[in-house]
Amino acid sequence: MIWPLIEKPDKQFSQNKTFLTESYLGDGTQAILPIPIQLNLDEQKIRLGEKLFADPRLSGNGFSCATCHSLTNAGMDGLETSIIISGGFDTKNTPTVFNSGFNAMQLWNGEAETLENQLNMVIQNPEHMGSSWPVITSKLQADDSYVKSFNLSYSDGINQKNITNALISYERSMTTPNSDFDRYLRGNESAISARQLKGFQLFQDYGCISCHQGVNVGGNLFARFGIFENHLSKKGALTDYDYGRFNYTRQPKDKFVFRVPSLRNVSRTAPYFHDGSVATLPEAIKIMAKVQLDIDLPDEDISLIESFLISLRGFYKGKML
Amino acid sequence: MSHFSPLQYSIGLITTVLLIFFFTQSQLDNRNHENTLIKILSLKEYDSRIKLQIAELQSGYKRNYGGIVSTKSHINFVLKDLSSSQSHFKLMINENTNSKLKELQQAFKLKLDLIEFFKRENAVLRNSLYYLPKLIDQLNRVVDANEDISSIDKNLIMVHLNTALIDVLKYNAQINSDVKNLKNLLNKHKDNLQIVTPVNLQKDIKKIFTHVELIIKLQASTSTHVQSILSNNSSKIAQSLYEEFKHNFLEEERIANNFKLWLLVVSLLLLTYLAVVFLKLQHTSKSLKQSLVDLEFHKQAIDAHSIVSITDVKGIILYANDKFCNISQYSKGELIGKNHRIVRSLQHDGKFFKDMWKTIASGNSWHGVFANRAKDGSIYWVDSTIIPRINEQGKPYQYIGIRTDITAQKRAEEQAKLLARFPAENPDPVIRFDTAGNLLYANPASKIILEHWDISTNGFLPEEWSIILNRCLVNDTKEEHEVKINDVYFTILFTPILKQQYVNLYARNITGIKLAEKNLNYQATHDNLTDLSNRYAFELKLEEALKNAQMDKVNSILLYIDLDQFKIVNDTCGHVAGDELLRQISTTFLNLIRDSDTLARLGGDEFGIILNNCDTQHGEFIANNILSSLNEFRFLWDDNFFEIGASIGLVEITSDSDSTVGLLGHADIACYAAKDAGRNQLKKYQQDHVISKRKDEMQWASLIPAALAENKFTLYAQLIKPLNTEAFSHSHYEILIRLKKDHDTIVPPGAFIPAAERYGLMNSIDLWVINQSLQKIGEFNKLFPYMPLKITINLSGQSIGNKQLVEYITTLFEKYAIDASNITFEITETSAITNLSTAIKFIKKLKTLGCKFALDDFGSGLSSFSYLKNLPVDFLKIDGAFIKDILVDPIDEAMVQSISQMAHVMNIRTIAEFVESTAIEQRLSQMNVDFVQGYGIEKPRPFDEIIKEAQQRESLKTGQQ
Repeated sequence: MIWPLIEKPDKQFSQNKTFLTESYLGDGTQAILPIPIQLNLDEQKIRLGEKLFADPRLSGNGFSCATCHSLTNAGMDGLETSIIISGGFDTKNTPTVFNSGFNAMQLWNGEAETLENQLNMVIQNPEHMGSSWPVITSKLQADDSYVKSFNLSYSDGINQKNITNALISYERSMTTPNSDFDRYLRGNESAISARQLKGFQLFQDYGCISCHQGVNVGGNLFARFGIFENHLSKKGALTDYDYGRFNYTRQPKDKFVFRVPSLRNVSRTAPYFHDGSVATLPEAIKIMAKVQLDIDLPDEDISLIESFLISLRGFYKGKML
Repeated sequence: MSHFSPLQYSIGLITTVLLIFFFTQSQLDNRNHENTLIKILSLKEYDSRIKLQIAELQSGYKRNYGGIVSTKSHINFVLKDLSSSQSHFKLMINENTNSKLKELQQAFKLKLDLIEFFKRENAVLRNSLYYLPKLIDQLNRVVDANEDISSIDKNLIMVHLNTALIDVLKYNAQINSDVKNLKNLLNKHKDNLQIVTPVNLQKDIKKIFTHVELIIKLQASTSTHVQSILSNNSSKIAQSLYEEFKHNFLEEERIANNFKLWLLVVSLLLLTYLAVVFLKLQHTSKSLKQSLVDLEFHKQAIDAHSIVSITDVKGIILYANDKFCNISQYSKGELIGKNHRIVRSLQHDGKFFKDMWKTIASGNSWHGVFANRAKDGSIYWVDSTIIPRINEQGKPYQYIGIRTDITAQKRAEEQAKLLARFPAENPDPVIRFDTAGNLLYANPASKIILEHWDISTNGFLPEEWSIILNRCLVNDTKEEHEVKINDVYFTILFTPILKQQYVNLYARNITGIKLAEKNLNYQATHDNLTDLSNRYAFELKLEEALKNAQMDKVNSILLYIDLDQFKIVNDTCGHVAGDELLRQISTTFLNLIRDSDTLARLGGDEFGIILNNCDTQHGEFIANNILSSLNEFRFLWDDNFFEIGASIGLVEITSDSDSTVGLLGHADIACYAAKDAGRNQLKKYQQDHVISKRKDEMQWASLIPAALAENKFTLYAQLIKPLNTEAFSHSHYEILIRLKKDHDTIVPPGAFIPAAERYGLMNSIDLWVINQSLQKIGEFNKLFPYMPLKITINLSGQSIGNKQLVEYITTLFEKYAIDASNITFEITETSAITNLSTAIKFIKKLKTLGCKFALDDFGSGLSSFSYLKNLPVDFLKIDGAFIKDILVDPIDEAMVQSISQMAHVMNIRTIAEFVESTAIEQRLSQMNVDFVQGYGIEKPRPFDEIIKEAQQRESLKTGQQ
């Protein structure tokens, strides 16, 4: 059959342009890719999203997105598990909003396939934002400055689709390029220290890199938490969330399967794991080596890998995260 | 024409409805259809991309999942797009196709799930594959280092380990796919290893084989996954969906084509029907037309008929036709029986009519043109032939007048006559030449130009102009040229009219525009206050000087002058005075430079000078001339004299200079450096000098806050001694600040105060000083309330604007139980005057607490007392510059004398600083100065030392009592 020439793609179809051009993927032989420096995003929508992100009107009780995803705290809350509206804490750790645009799926268990889904879930979750789109829409419509800004960016003004789009434009803009390690990947060999380079070598030799790869050093596949040993078996009473992907697929093979988290800025996003049960990075590295690889990692190797992970700390708006 | 019958109506209506129906049914959305096909096909493309990506991942060639994730999101996007209810696809499909789409979605969902699972397993497989070599290598090393193992065993272990690794890698690379065989081989290795390896290393062997087994297991299961991914029929379904959708479309197209055929048939029928109707109509209209033509002929004959009238010999109208009635506006009844004079106008004289009558009375016909008057008085013109009707006697008895209306013609003639005068009346010159350059026409206004060209005498256009004329003719283009005749400017537009073979020249007097243009240009490049060049013009000149330096190696000098005292004049005497000062200064400057140099006012009180073709030495000479002439310059306003100073920055314009912006920036920096060095200074721009200075200051910017935090500042104090012991017996101390750098080094304030001022740190320094000194004073005065220490605290200009400061001082007074009358605050004359109204408010507020105020450096700023009236100060501190040379310089002496006198009149006490000898002290005493301060009296000492001494002294006193 003859492949038809793509001459005039219709409007809807051409919208499949992602905010990234695929060229950032390179030839695929590199395991870790540097964060692209330029993104294809609308500045006006980003600014609108930024305003929405910090606006408590998006919730039923004075939370804004930024309450938990604090920009001064690497895009998360630094807590073991997130706070909830009814008081107290959730069973899951708040993931960082930084670089979330590069994830192939969102949330610890990957339940949300896209940022749109994630946003929709968190807005309507009675314990998180506890609101609804009609309520948010009418609140924003009462604010002239929003009406003006939305009309500038969208032909059909304030609605769920456009609020979501603005917020996601902003989230996608929240990337942390130019980390020491990215600069190393781009050819600046002195960007990381000898110890960090050694740590990176170990990271590869031990096989960590088979899961923690791609532009986000993770975030694009699922993996069982505990290949050789079930870490969670030590936990005692398990919560629903501990079952990982199984929680929503109900397939036995998805038990304790989680999204491999991104290691970007990982030194800033303690505590670790889906339940925030581990306070420090060395401890997290140690557990990972034990349960995924059956290795009792020597302290020196842990320290080297840790110093490599610190080199993944990038910059947002000119400031190191 | 008969009306349409109901039948005809209904035929029309039905066919129209049919036409619209067939038309809509025959339309197909080809573009959307094509796009939808592309979308379906793109799924196939992504599908094959996935195949490749899986193979690459499985082989370990690709090491990240970015590519496959991206493909997955593309697939999801297309599927979502196809199934969205608005998509063309959804609108076009039938149930069968829809179920196929669902089938495709299912297939892809399954596939993508499998891919997810593949990714997961592949990652674990890779993990072990990465780790296994390291693990074996580690064990090899341990074994190698173990002295308990014989070298034969060592070799054996190494061989088994390495062979096992190679076997596994081979299997993984699918070089060897016999699992059973592999397992046997590996078991053999394992058994052998367990025999030769010491017990303490057995667990490592076990670990290695755990990973080996994992690899074999995962290799098998990933392969199975890959198989099921590859065997997934999504591609086939996509293909059949494509075919089906295409088929549907073709079917639609076939139906549409049928409708097209119907459309054609109905259209043809309609056309035939219309043709019949048309022919019928044509037949009817033909006969009608014939009778119309006949009628028309008659009508025309009558219409074409002239104005006709018949009179008797006396002129009484016997007959008048319609045309006559029309033109004369009289009815037939009104005309017949009247004399033909009824339409006579006053345009013709008596002789005209006499001649006419004579001619017709003699039996000849008369021909001529009349102006007649209609009933409403309007004039109409007729070309008239009057034919006498001769009776049998050969005499006329009737006259028949046949006339044609020529009013329009007549009017046109009049108009033409008027129009002909139009160019002549034109106030602008209008001239016409033929192609050879001969003058054809010139209006009176052209006189000045013709005279200029001297055409009247030689009749020809001067040569340079005839060249233009010819050029216009050859190129058939208009050309505009300017000519200045005496003081009058003209533009002349040469307009060739080829058809008529002449050239029109339209000239316009543009003298006014020219002058306005010149005026505008002047305004754009000049400062309207001083009439000097403005910044814009200056930058152009600078550009020129830079070019000269770069191209011709002609160096020049750029001077940047900033007046030192301008703001004071402006603030105290108003803008009118400021403007006048600027004008006077400009004149002074102009007298010092050559005509070829450029002086410009760059804004405010800043001037720039470009000294063209000038070396540094001469440039410095001129700059120093400027400074010394400013030194002598006194500005008089309202009986007050002001001294004006300036800071000058000098920059060389050489071939190395990069840009005008850079030059101006350097000049500004140099000028700044000059200002920093004190008044009336000239500084040449030196890069390293400025940079090091900036660096120093930057350092202070961070050192000062640190010093404040670490309490590295320390208080010193200097005695202010009363001269007249009667009235003001109590001495007091001026509090000074020092920085303890190291253990022994004390940094004087001159090093860090300028930096503190620039970086806005003076406020915090002031606060620190106030807090420290008030605390110390408070403690001391509590112990010795009868002999309190009095102090003077300096406040910076920045603090004067600080609104919270008054509050802060108030709370400190309370906190340390301070008697405010013991505290004097000191501000400099310049800082007080730069913010006069703020300063007055500030001083008044603090004075309500009971503190006193002193004005520092008095006399340095300006020699006017007028503003003193408004500043409620208690002390004047006479600028040390006057005191130093008081014994030798009579002017200084007079100055101090007058300040002292004036101050006493105003009930203000005076303090003299820089008192370095007893001789000076005595002189000052004679001049009635109240207090003295200086190295000759007492040097500044640590404040703590002073307090300690006073404590000892006072306790001694109380002890004695």
